[in-house]
Amino acid sequence: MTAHSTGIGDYRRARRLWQAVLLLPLCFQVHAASTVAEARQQLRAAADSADKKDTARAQASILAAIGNPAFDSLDEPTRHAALTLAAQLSLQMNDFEQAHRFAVRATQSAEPSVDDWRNRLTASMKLADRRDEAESLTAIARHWGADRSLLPDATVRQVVRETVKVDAPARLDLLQALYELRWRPRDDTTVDAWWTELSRLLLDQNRTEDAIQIAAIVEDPRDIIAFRADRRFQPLLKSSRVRSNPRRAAKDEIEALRAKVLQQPRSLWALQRLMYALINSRFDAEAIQLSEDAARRMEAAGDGPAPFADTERYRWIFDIEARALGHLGRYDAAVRQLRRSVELKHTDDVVSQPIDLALLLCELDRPDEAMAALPAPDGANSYGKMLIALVQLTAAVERGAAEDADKALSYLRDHRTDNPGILQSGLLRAGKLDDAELVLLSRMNDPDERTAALVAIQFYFEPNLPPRAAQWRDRRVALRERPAVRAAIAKFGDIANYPWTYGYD
Amino acid sequence: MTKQRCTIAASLTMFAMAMCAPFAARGAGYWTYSYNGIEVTSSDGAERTKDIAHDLSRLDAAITVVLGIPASDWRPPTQVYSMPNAVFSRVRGKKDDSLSLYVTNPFGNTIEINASNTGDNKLYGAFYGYTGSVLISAYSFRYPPWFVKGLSETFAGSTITKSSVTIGAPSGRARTLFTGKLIPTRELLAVHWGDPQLKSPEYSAMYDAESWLLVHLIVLEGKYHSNFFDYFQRCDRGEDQARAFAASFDISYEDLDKMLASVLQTGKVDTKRVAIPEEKDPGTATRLTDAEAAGRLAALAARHSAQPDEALQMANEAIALSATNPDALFALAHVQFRRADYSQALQAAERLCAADSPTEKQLAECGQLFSSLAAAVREGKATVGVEAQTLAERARRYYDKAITMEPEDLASCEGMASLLATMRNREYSQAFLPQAQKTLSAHPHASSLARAVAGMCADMGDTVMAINYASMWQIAALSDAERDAAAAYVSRLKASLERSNMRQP
Repeated sequence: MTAHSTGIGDYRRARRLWQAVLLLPLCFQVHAASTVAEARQQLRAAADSADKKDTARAQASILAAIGNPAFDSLDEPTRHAALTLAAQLSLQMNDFEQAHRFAVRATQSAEPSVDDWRNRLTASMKLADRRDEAESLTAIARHWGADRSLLPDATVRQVVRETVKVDAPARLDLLQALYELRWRPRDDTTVDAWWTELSRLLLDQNRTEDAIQIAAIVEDPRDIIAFRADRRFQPLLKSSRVRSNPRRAAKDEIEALRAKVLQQPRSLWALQRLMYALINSRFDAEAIQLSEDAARRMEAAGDGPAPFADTERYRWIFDIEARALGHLGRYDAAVRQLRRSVELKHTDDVVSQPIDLALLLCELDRPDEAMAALPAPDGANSYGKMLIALVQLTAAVERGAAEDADKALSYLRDHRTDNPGILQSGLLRAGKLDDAELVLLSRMNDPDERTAALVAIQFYFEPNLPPRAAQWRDRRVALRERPAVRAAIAKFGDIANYPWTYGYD
Repeated sequence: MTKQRCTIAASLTMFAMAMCAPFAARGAGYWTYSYNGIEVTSSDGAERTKDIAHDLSRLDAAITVVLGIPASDWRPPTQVYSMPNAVFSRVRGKKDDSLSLYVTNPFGNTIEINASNTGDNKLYGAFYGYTGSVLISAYSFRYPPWFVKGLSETFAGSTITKSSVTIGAPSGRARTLFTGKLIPTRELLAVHWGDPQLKSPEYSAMYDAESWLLVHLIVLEGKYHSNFFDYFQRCDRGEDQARAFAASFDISYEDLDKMLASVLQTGKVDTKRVAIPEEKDPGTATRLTDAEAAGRLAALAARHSAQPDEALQMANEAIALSATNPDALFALAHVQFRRADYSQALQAAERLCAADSPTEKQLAECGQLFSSLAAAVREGKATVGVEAQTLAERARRYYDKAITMEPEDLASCEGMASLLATMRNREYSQAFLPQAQKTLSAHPHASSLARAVAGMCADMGDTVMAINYASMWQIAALSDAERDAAAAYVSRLKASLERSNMRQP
């Protein structure tokens, strides 16, 4: 354009401009319509590919559809369906961040489905997004939780375990939702520790009546000890509705389990639970008798039908019997029974019995055999791996292998959050009392760990111990007597004598 | 309806006498009588048998008036068995001090009464059971346990004459209220079935007694009636109990505690007399033959006994008396199925279903047996030398005939819909759908029928209809677990519909 434009040129230019302005909505509509059609086509392609199990192609199509500028102008149900599918496909492709993004959007739809929340839960668990994990499980529990199939034991346990450190409101919501369902694992074991924690969170908010109501269903002796050991629970003990006598609770537990064994004579699980309760209350001889009876029944059956419906649990009977034998100082017999339990064929858990055997061999100062008994850590969960490291540390200390001991101790320190109690035990076994004191004090100063730390340092009945284990016990006692520890105990709780082990031996 | 005032402790002695009553003579004959959907089988003689049916019918009329349930509302058929103590224990497969029990399912109720209880309130257990079953199966939403218990107690003590029912005479548990410490209502309202506190006999007795008193005050004296019913509806919708309470009441839990305490101080409660027009009924009870009685009791044991082996023995004894008695043959087939002896179950089912002119009841039972066997074979649990499809086809034919003879047989309709959902035969499903729809329109409360029809529609690919019936299931669900399972199913069906709509151009 020259500096001196003609009037005609200006007019033409202006007309083109006006034409552009006037035609703009029309062009936009045409463009938008074609884009919506395109988005719909992409969605159809995604659904077709998903049906044909062509996940990669389906994912490419769904991503194109969601990324299409027209996606937001699609109707809500279609967008929801697309986001649900996108989350599912991303999960299948192990792209958890993407799956999480889409699942979050899907759960924000007008009518999120149970599967949207399940997708979100799966993704958040994979991403270790603990808060979102707690919120997702809470949502499932609140909306659909009475249908137990939607809250599988393993998932619920894992989420509760992993979300200990999320902020208090999210944790409280989760535990409250599970409490309202009176959630319990299918094997009928107790989760009273969760209700104890829930009571404590409510007490922190000065909701004493609500806390008492929750605590009224707690009947596990270990949690009743917690009420007495941790001063934060003191308001509960003023209520007659809350149990405060662990001995009575242990007795009732044994009575109930005895009745269950009579009702379910073919259940080793019932027998196993009874034996465990018995050894915690020093009825070791009776537990041994029950184990011997079970063995006789198994032998009598020979190749015929098994006398128990759950023979895969048989190894646990020997495992618990071994502990009872150990309590009575019959260590050789205990080792023999644990070796028997290791040798029994099973597929679901190949680490528990070897670890228990290795732990006992450490107590007996037989480090080489302990190391030989240890399973590969691959099959173990985080708790099992901590125990394996504890055995490695103990064996190294017993053999005087400093380098190995440091390596194992490093593992325990690096994975402290998996089980700080095991780290504390390891430090005691390594003779590092100052470090053990620091760990114990830090546990007592941590509101989430305090209860467990206080419960563990009560005075329990000490069964017969071999010399090496007696040495560890003496160090534990010495630790409890250190001034800083005594001061912390005085500040946070109470120490009492319990003439039973309650499993803390 | 007229009101009267009476003292709370009035019926204590009567109740105590009932608990200590001597056992009735064994081996008495049995009579049967049917009246207004209540079928009684009793060892108490012809007059008493008829009276039980009439009394329950009058009680039903009184419940209808007091609770304001439309008189036309459907009631599930009720079967009452009144039998001497030894038989009472045998059919249940357990010995205890129970006076009666009731078993409810969506299609009918079974009430078992220990006829050896010779106290004045002999029908206490029957009234208790009948009230509970009306609440559970013929009402629009799910009540909390304390209300079901309390209402059952309230009506259980009714005094019935030919022209009236007097409700609200103090419960036999009233002594507990005066001698024990009341449970705070905050806790009473929150207790779930199976909570550990209820294991304590003292707590459980107080829970029952206090539930009775509270329900009495709500239902018969109108105290906070509308508040409580608003609260129930909120809880039923899944609202948190404490929030529901806060939204429904302008008083606190502690105010309710004070109300209960002040009623106990006065020691007086109201009773209500509901006038019932006397109905002329010239019918007489029929004496059953020994074989018929044995067959009925064996069938009862086969369905409900905790000891299948004992129930098998009863079935064999009944067959020894009459090899063609249909109840005995059903008992044998059913209990063999429960014992997982599938071949024996099939043999007995063949004998039952070979009758030349079977009754509707027999056809329904044949449908049920063959359908169960088909499922066991399909799931790989059973090998009986017949294909699952063949068994299913036979089940379908039996159900079809049963429904043709009695279109209101809800259990057969449900059985048929569930069966067709597994048979994956669109033609059959299409043919049955109109009948199922008709039955469901007449019985929208039949939750499990709605569930089965929803499944059948989903299998036919009609997701919209499946959503409709699944929503019916959700509304009519009898328990929280069922409601949440229905809600999850609805959400999945909707997601599936959205996904299929996503394919639309």
